[in-house]
Amino acid sequence: MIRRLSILLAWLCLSGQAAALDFQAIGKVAATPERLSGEFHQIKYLSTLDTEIDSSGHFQYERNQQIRWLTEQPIQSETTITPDSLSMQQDGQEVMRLGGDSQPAVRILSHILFSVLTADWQALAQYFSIDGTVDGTNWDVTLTPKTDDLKSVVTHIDLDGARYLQHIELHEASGDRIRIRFDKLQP
Amino acid sequence: MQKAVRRWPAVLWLLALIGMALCVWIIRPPLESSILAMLPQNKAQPLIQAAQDRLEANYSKRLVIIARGQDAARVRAETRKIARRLTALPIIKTLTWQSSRQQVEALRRFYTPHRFQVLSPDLRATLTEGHFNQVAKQATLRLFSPFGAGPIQPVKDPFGLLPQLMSTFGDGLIRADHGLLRIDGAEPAAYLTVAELDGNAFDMTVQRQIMPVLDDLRENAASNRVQLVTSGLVLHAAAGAKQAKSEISTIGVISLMSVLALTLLVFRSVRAPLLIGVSVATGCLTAIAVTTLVFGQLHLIALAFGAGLVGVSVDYGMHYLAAQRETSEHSVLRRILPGLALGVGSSVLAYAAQALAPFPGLRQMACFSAAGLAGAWLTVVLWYPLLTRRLDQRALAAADWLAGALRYWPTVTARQGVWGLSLLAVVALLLLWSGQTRDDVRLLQSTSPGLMGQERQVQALLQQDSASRFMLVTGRDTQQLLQREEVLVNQLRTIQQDNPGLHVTALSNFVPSIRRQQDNEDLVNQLYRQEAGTFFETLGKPRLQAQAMTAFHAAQGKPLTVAQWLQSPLGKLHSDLWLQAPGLPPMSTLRLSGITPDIAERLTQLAGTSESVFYVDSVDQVSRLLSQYRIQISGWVTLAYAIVGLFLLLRYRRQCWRVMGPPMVAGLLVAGVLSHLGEGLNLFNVLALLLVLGIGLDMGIFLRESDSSPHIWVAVLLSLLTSLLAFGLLVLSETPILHHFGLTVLLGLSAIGAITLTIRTSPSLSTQEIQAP
Repeated sequence: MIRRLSILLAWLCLSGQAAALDFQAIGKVAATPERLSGEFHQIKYLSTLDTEIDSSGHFQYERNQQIRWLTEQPIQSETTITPDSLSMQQDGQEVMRLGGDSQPAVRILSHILFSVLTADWQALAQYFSIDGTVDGTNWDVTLTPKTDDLKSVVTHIDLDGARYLQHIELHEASGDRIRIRFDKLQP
Repeated sequence: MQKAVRRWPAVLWLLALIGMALCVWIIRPPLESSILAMLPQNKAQPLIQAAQDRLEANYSKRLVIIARGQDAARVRAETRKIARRLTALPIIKTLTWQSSRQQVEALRRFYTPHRFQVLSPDLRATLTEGHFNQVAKQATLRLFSPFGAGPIQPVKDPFGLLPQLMSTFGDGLIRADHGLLRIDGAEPAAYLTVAELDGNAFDMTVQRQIMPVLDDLRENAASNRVQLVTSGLVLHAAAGAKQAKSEISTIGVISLMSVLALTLLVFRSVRAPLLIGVSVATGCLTAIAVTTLVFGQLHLIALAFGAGLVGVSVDYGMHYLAAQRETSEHSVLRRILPGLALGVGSSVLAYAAQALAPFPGLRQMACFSAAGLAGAWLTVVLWYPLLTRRLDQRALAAADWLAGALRYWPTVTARQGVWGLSLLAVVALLLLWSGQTRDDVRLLQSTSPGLMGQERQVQALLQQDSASRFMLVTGRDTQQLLQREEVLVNQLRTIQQDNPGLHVTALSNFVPSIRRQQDNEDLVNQLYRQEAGTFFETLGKPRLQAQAMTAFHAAQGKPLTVAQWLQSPLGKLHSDLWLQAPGLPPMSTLRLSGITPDIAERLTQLAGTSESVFYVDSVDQVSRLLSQYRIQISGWVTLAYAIVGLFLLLRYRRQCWRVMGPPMVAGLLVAGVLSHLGEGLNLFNVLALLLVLGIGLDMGIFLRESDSSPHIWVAVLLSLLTSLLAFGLLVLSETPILHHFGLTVLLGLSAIGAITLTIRTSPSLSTQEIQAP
């Protein structure tokens, strides 16, 4: 009786540990470097047209400062993201700017994007619940939004990587999908 | 035979009283406690009045509850509890506390057919300036950027016009969180619940249903470390009702008790206070019944003021009883009737002047007082002769005592009196001339600091100003109105560029005029012609251009109308932006927030340039009206004194100054002193001076009519004392208007008493003086 009870307790503990895959667990495997740059290849799937639009370029990020997203094909453009704003430039001219105090929703969006790209797990924990596996140095997780207003934009985000983030797949509520692959990453 | 003639009116009066009691019992008048009801109607501008009435009606039905706390999960749990409890109340018409994706989706569906006609203001500005390329570039960037805002529909809406329009609708203040409405950026976490009441906020039954539930919820939340911040007229109304009730029961009861005790003491008979009680009770009943029949409801301020009426209405009874002690029963009424009639006449005249003020609340007070006095007077005249037949006619011990005591009060000769009064009048005029006036309506608000604090907290959290300031646009028809509003919104954009804090919510942003919608469509047409080719080529899908053009042409020529919009979820939410009052042209109100004095000045200037645009600052407007009426009523007071003075001059000739002098000089003195006290002289001080005139004249008339006999001195001083008790106690009131009344009457009556005593003639002298004209 006592043995059976202790087995049950051990099983409970074990299952508890298996479920304990959280942001800290990946944080141990994945690095959040001060600087990172590399190339990206993006495929955007538009559900209304059932078609895909490709683009590629490179990016640079400085932790807690900014991310510069430079699209080179098929058009030249640059998006700069800071933790609370988002601006798009073309030919050195700002075409669009979102954020600041007037648009708190954009502040949250920027915050999330920044956190995803810089693997700031602590910040992500505010907005998402996590599910997935860590296998040695590789990890593969799905982020599911906690709040309704996020759910109305994104159903879930798949991320995988090792030391650094390698793939993102963002599933929008509208049925659109954005798949981004990162290459030649350098800290 | 003679007895029957005398009884007949008394019985009739009894029947009338029974009828009035039945009336009050059947009607059960609702108690009004709104300061707003005290405010004048804006007769000059029915448009503005209609808009204000509607805003007021909206505000009066709304109850905002914000739950706040460090632990967001607990706050959410409390918010759900609030929603559950309130939904169960039949008095709650609608409750807004949930947010769902379906609502946003419904809005998107509503605007989709009109996406080329209704454009976001920023986008329209860019297109008007001819920057079509910029709009196309943005669309391209959004398409390739991983951070696109919302779903992209390259065929239906390649340039993302609809998502840009949608982004202007959210105020960026409330966001959905766990299905609830969370106030974004608020620390600690705050969730919003808005209830719409199905009934008048001043209705006691509404208050009784909602207030205990609210108190219970508040207490419950506090035990879970969640704070409830509330805003709504029903809260103020309930607090006002509670305050007024407690004041009526304290001030009213104390004044009645002290009057009865004084009567008992002076007349040394249990019957006397009973008789006085009968006249006071019938007076109150008449007052309540007449006011209810005339106004359909009772204002609490009128009722609380009526508590003071007790002190005045006992006068007639006292005089009757006092006079009876020195003469035989049959001649009492005949002897004192002229004095009583003059007394009630002058008082009613003073109150009637008050009814000239265009303040509904004041009219009620005037009606209440005049009816009450008339009722008490009728009881004395019709019932006392029947009720006091077997009353003892012992001489009043108090009269002897008083005659002795009065010897210690210094007197002056007639010449000294006239000079002294003149000197006092000059001093008073100097004081008045150097004094201040105050007409700020905020000084007269009776809301407790706690409630006001919560109100401000809610306004700050929701980033809203009170609804007291707004702009109004009017037009011959809806289209002209919208066109005018568009011009105004454009002008406001210039002000906004200098003042980013200014927020404007305007109907034409949701539904532009047909002309503007056609203009927008033309702009979009140009955008498509110039940019669609390049756009789809960059996209690598040139075949899609034809499809996009077809979609555009299909959606052309379908303008959105105000009627359609009002049926949409957004239209229901912002229904207060449009108003079509019977007999008036259509108008729209522009909600403004973040107004600084500087902006207010520019808005006033802006409104001054057009006959169809108004800038309304209700608080400022009322303050100005208060000032206007203070000046007007000061004029009325002067006129009332002059007319009454003329009548008295005809009757009393050279002795007139003894009747007119004390109330006139005391009135001036009190006005002078008040103009130097703290807040300065206000309208309600001036109105109270009318009361002082009424009471003071009564006193002078009774003394003159009775040749200043010791018995009349007893009655006069007794009624002065009771009036002081009744009105003086109003000084303690938390309701500023009553406080100002109380203070003025307290000072005024004290001054009248002192002056009258000083210039009095001894009974032996009086005969000589009257005979020498």
